[in-house]
Amino acid sequence: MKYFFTIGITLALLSGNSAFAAMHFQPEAKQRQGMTQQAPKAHSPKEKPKKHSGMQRKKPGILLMEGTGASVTLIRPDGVILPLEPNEGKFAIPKTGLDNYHALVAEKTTGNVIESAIRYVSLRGKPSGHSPSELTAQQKASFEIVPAPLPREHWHYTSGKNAVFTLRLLNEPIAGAMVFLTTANGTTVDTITDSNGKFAFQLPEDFEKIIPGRRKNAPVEFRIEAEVEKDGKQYFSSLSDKYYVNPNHWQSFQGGLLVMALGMGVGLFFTFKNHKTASRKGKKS
Amino acid sequence: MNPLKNLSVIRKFVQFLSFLFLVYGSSVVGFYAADKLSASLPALACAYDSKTADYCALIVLQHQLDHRVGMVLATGGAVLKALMPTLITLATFFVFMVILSKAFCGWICPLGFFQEIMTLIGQKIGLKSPSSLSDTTVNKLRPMKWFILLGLVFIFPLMTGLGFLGMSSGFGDAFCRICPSRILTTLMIGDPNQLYVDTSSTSLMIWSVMADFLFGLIIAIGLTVRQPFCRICPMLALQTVFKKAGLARLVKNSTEGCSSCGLCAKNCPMDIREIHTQETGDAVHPDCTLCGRCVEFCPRDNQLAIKYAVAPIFTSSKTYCAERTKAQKKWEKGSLIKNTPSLQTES
Repeated sequence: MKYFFTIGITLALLSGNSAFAAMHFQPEAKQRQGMTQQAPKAHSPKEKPKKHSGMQRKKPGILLMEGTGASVTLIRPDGVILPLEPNEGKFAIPKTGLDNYHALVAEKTTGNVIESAIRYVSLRGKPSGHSPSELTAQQKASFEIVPAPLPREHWHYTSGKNAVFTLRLLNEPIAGAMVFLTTANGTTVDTITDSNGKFAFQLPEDFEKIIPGRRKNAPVEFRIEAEVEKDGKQYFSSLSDKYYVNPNHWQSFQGGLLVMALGMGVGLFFTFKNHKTASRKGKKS
Repeated sequence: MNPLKNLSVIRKFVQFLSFLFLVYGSSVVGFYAADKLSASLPALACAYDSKTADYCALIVLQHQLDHRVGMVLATGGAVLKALMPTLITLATFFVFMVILSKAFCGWICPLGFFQEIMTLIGQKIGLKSPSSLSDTTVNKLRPMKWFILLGLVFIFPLMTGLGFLGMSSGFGDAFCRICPSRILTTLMIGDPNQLYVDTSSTSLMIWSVMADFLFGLIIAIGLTVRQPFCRICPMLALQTVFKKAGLARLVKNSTEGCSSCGLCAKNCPMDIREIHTQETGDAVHPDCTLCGRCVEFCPRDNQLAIKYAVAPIFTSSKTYCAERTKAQKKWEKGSLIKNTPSLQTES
């Protein structure tokens, strides 16, 4: 197989003018304020409890940008595909009754150009009995960027953390392709897939205003895009998700190490006291 | 003594395999919560460890009480529907307890294994241990696990869900905030992000300082005191609630002929003196981890036994005890620093 990789989209992205021009999903502006960072909200401890903000639980409407003419589907954890109809370019995610990740997929063909956009959304419901790894393994579009792995409870995308993905064309990994990461905070970086089609981005530390506390900093959108040419056809794909501020900004490892050492010091005091007592008893007996 | 006949060696081997599986097992079972064997493991395998094979029941219970039960009670939703996940967790926990009972502590728990390794290191560097903690200390420590279970695992998360405690105060998963297994298992996979001092709020700073201090304390105290954290572990308390259903159990066959040696109690890593004074029958104390050391060091034939249902798995015998005691002395003489045997056993 012979693949031709182009970098046109890179130039467009790096120029800054046409960033986020490719077809992609993003949360509805009302909830997410589009691709811009939300103003951090301070939560009062006395505030009425809200839903857990863990694994993409909030479900605003989803917008499909640059997606005119695209067919959109929602793939359930069990692989069942549900067609979705847009309402003025906006999609309300229907309740499927199943828990865990679902894949929102848009695909359109214009002449020799095949575009796809994917976003994984987590819904509430009964346990599906299916692992998200089945959903990621399933071919959802001709050309797709697949998280490896998707975030889960206690493991989110955060700034400064490595996020790993796989690039697949017709469910086969693509080696040596250039991929681009763009964040709503204005960072654009690129990398190249390895022989297994894998690539990793260190999510940028590009939050301008950081308030100490996980719930006090709203997540921000990032998008990964790739392009490949094969058999005279051009394939474009995008994957969008959100990432959080790295808690290391208010959690000090050095401080933790110091307190742990203090605990060890106190423990060693008792340890040597025990040792001396036991030695004395040993001598007496 | 043939190591393959030494129960302690066999147990260490099982603990080692369990440690590998529970700390690094996601490569076997999968990364996602849906891939895990259950979310009700009666041992401290932490969900913060991204490579774990299973989740400790305590984190799940806290999340359910905070995010679901408490919130539904506060907002007036369907209580039974809200309770259902918690009931399923407890039911699964019950099934585990029927299968292995409290042996999850003595044979499976990664933190229990780590503490035993610390004690072995203490022995090997020549530190002498007290033969057992004083009765006063043991009596003071015993109720703590119940307070931690009720307070940190049940009441604080529920209060958070009900809205009495702040969402960002750390009370929603209060036990996990101080659990040494969270720090241990994440450090073991090379992730230092759980060892921290949180400066985002006073309450989170206090929780994080408590956790780090406790972790350091356990490492150092564990060099001479056997199973320091197990003595206050809420998992041990939760297991006790279901212990009667367990098929694996410690049985004392008869008190007739039981001398006053008390070697069973002296060798118990949890300092359960009641094993010695216990009369015939089920000898599984709330603090028991079914490690089997009392059976190993009992010099009387058939006095103590670990049974699975009615089938004896391991029974005390004079011959085994003699060999085991000899092996223990040999092990303890092999100090890396100097010959300072700190025998727990009597000849």
